[in-house]
Amino acid sequence: MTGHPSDERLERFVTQRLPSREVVAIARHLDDCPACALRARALDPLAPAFASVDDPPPPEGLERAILERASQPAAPVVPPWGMALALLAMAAGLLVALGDPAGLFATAGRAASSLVRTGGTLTGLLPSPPLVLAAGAAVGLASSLAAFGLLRPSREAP
Amino acid sequence: MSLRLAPSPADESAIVYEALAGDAAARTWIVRTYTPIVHRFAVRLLANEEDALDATQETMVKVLRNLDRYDASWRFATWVFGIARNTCVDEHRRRRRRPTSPEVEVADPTDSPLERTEREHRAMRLLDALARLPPLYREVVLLYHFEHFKYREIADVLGLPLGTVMNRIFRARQKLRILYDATELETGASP
Repeated sequence: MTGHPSDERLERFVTQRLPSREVVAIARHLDDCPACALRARALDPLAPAFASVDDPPPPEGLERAILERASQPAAPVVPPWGMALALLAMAAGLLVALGDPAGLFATAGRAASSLVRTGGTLTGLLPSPPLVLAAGAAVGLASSLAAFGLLRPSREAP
Repeated sequence: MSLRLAPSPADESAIVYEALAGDAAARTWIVRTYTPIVHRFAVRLLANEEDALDATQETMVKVLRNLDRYDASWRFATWVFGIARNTCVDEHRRRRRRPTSPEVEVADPTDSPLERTEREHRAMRLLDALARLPPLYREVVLLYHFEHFKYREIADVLGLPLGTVMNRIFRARQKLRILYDATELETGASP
């Protein structure tokens, strides 16, 4: 649009009695013209009411509390997927530790060997059951810790 | 300048970068400048003093911890209000407390007792009407009429196209006017 809108156009703008394309054009003008923006505000029927409201003061000590809190490390944030991953890892660890890991691996080994036709050599490569049990528990624990490790103090998303 | 703040955008960007570098005075300046503004926005948006207090603290802590994410091509106030708005929305969802009665502070000593009473009454009616306005509309009224944001800055804060913002402001103003007039009828007040 060219030039400044008349009072009449501004009044029609404020009371929404203009076509939408004109509304956007005037809005753009008001954004760049503080004098017209002031005129438009004054034409608002509720302008006296807006002018009557004073600002509520912030409580005493709020600013100090904010500065103190911001200077401390952020609390770990637990994303939902992190908790799910940790629980899954713990469940897997328990399954391996309390189940029959040797049998489980043997079955998996047989299936794999039949597929690749390597002749059951995989089961032979497995370590002893107590070692598998200990390794399973360790994997579960390590996975859980790793999942929570991802939750180290991080920046909060605005 | 549209927002009711004093510093120029260039000065403000310089202060933000000093704060980002760990300058304590710059961080304090940001908190002292923006806490009252964010607080009054939160009080009016959430219509609950306690929630507003939590939202203000949360917002300002996020601002200080995320200064490295601030894009200097935006006005700092726009960025801060974007965070404040999202934090207030989260707070509102989390708590869903009942609105508390709006407090009106009228302290113009030049007013006569009658003028002061009328001013207080107008302010009370407006805040009451504002508290009844759906949050979707309340936030645009606050940004435009109380914080004096430009239309395109409101579009930036809300992440909406300018046309949508215009529409929303008009609808908000219409609804606010109806609610304001209704409070007049309820209280039997003169205009």
